[in-house]
Amino acid sequence: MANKPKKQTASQATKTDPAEYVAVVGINTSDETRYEAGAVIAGADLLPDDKEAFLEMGAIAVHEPKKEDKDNVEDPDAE
Amino acid sequence: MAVAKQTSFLCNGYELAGFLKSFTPEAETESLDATVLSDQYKAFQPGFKTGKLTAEGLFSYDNTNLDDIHNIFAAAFDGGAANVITASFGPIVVGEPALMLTGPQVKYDIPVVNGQLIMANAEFQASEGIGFGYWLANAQLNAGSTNGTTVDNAVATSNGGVFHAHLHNNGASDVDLKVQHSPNGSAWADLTGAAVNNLSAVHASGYAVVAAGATVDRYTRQVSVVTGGNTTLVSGAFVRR
Repeated sequence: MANKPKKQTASQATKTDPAEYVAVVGINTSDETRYEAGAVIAGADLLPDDKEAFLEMGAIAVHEPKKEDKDNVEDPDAE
Repeated sequence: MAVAKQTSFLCNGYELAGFLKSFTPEAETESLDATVLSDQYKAFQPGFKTGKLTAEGLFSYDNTNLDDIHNIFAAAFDGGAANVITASFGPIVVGEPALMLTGPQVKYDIPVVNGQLIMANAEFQASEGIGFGYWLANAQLNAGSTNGTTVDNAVATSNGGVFHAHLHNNGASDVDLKVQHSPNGSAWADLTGAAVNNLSAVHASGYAVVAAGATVDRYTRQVSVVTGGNTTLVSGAFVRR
């Protein structure tokens, strides 16, 4: 029973805090760093408050996993 | 109560407050007769909303600089459908109200009465209604990128808006203006659609529409990017819908 909350927290963390985001429009972070639309941003480069604000606005989106993560799906075509 | 004093009237990039005595914005709604047989009294429903603005000024023209009231109103009358008018109710201050209209000039008259001042009066029809927005910028800017002062709207809105921009260029070769919005006042994103780019001529102006249904977050600011020159006066205002 005590493990349940921990599991939820961990899964939420992986869903909302992936490694990379992509800027949907141009953004300026709270420290005035500028990312143009289409720029890929490492999650670690964004402050938690900025990340939350940009996600709320739809200004950034989770970047799709790289090929390595999708190997299982793409393998049939490749072969 | 408010007294009109040191008011601004920007028309297509020109400040006409030095010529005008008054301006009057009017908003109207069509009244559609919805009376049916069983009614005892006439019944009405509101139809399309519209707006117009009349301006009364002192006639003046300048054949050299082409920047007096007659030059501007005559050009606007001849010119086209998308005149950009942004007016204030006092000195322009970021965050203070801006009256915003985009549309054709439908009337221009010059009453000449013996012994009286010659007047220059114009009427503008609003293409999409008259907007009551807020100033985002009114400043002399040097070359470079300038983030304007933050305007707090208290809440986010969800039906787009219109951005007006006026430029009194003093040397810049290219000026790009846009609106950014933010839910917290520190992380800013470009507001999709709210950009007026490539202003380079003296007294340039433009407007941009943020699509209906688009969210505009609580805080807004103008970002001005000036290239190739200094001391450029930039004014901008945004109205939410």
